[in-house]
Amino acid sequence: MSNHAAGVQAFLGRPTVICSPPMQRLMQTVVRVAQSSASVLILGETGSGKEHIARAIHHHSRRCAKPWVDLNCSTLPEHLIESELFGYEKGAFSGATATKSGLLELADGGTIFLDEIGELDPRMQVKLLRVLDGMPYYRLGGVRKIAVDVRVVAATNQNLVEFIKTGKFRSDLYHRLSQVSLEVQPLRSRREDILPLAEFFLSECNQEARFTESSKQALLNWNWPGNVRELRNTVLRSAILAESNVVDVQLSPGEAPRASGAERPLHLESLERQAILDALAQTGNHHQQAADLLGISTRTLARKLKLYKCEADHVSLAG
Amino acid sequence: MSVWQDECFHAEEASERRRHSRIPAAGPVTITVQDARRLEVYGTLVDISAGGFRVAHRSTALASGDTVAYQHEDGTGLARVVWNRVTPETVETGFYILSGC
Repeated sequence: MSNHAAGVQAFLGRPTVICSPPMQRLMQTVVRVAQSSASVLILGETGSGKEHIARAIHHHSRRCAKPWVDLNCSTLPEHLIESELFGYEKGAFSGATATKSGLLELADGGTIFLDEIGELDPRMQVKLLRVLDGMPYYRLGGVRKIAVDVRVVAATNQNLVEFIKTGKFRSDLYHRLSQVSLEVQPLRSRREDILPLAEFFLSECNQEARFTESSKQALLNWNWPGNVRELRNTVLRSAILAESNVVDVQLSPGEAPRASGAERPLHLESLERQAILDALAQTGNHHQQAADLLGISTRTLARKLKLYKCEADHVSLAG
Repeated sequence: MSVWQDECFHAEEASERRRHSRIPAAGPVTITVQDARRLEVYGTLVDISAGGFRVAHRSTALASGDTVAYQHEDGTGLARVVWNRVTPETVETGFYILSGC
């Protein structure tokens, strides 16, 4: 691990491996962008490390001693996002026995990171746009205007431009959020990071452990559709199952590395669809477990199931 | 019935309401991330609502979207990390209850 230690930096306590040229270039950009007050939109596939980049922006900014708040916009029902973001006053609704500050207030002076911003419903998009434009807002049931100084960093793995065309996302909010747009490359596009990342995750489990040479080759050969999150889970699973300090990577049947050649499906969507089918087959069509195996959220899994029309019958056949 | 259990008991009914109010609470909580890391975080319960709860702790490893198991003297179950607030002094995390009492 020591030969890769120079590539590990911690942002808000989150170690981040930066070895490949694309990641090094991205971090150089992050340092420059962090000095400004611009809103930043981070694009990248699920599990590629968008939150690490957002944390790095806060870490390198003048706001680093102020609060960092992150919110995953897909984890709450739409009707609860509003009270979480904007807070509420005592008596605002039945049972509101005390005033509660929203996350925007809690982030005052610092940075708020809105993950999966594409999931934000249109009404919240309007309210967020006003805040981004520096306008004060009201807590739910409030009469006093609240003004906050917050830098917004947002992230998505979705194509917001397509969302704008279909009316699911506001173009004005998109342009306001993407004053600076950064893209995190998928892991398969920065293969120099695979082994340093794998060795870092392994060292977190067992400082003495090392991979077999065949494992290293298997790790390099796989395309990692679930990106860094999938790699982390694979390494940790292998480390747990290892009977000695020599770790043989346990790729699940659906993750078997495919050699380059005519049989290898090169179409990204085909690879992703097959990975989903394999995960569902392995988990008996249990969506939560399949999502965990793939390193994605259940919501993302549901969206991809719909996209790829992966029905239960297909899963059974695939299994 | 404890406040926690009472809140969980009424979670389904309360989820029909548009918002959930919070009630101050206390006591140690153990959070275990439900992925290969099996990361454990020890914290203190700050408040609860019908749909979730807030914990103060020292870890910066929890990510919004993580599924976790929680253990408190008055309740156990599964929850999802909704938000984190990190300051130089402390970390607070908001959870949305998925199941359990």
